Amino acid sequence: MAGDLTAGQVNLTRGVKLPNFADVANYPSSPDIGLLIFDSTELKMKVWTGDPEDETNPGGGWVAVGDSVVLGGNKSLGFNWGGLSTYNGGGSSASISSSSGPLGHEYYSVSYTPSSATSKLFISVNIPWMGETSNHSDHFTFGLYKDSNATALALWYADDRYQDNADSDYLGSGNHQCWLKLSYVEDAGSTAPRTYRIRGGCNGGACGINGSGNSYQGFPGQGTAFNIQSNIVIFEFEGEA
Amino acid sequence: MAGKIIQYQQTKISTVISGSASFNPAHTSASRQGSELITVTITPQFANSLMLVRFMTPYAGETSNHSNQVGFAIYRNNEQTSIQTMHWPHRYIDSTLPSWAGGSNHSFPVDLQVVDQPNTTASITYRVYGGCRGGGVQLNGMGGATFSSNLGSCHTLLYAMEIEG
Repeated sequence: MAGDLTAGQVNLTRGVKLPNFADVANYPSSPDIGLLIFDSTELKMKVWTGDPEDETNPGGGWVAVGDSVVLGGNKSLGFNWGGLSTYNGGGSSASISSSSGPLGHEYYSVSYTPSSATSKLFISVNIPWMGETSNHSDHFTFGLYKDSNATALALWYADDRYQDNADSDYLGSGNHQCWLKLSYVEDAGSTAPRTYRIRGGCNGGACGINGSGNSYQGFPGQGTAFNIQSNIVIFEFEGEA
Repeated sequence: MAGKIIQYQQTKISTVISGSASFNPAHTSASRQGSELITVTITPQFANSLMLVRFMTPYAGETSNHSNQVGFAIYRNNEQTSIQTMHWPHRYIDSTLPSWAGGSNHSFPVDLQVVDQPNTTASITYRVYGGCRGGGVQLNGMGGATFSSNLGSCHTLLYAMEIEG
């Protein structure tokens, strides 16, 4: 085994001690791929991947063991999600022509407390199936809101039109149906807890989510074929140094 | 509150994907609807992890002019009940049918995500099924109408991200 393992100390009763280096500036030069060291400042084991141009890690090709690293070197610091897996018939209307907010009905929300004020929060919303509760409207307006703010962080609009009488049996009396995908990124700004809320509706009345019209207001309670999930997910990514 | 991203697995297809089976949103028994279009396999490191599964296709539609609705569902392994479902009666107005659409007059993008809690460390295959109400669905094109290769490619993506529970 001589030559296969080179370490600062190997002792049967004390374990293996890795060489210590303080900060990336003091790491070994011309390292071999797979070289494992200990950063005594960060208190992390680092392994050299052999790629000095690696832009996915703050230390170039030095990757901290056990870290997950994504999005151009920004580590994921946290995650939370919320949503609904049952039909929600909504409530008040929402229109692009409204003069004040918040718009419509609140369907679901998720709370999050950032671990750092400098983090970026990536928020992704998906409502895979929604529509009029009855035939009353011709467009959908939804918003992503924070806390009790009247102004949305991000608005979404669609005037998706189902061809009248083309196939009304499954839509019941509602003939507009749509789906929503919305993404938003904001600076955490602080480590204070906050709640993100999904609100919206149709311009002339309520909008149901996880179903549509009359026939699908019970969805997915119509047998065992399908489950459905309207959701909001939040990733916290480490801010740029 | 969950935490870090543990791993990421993806499947990307940049050619036209065609299914033949129809998708009935009124189906009530546990059996898959539509055709299998794309899959991704991931082996969780921890049983309490969350899985964020996301399916994105930029250009899809009827394989021919047969339908006025489309549906997609994500299934876990060989289960017959979906973990996520979408349905859309997207209708292109006939009278303004563009010439490039050929004989198919419904096309659409799809972006679908679900958070799964599989509670296992065994390998998981997530399967995206899809179809139109009256026939098959096509991804990265529709009805034989695709982008010229001189312009680039459409990419249909399915990923599974394991997140610390």
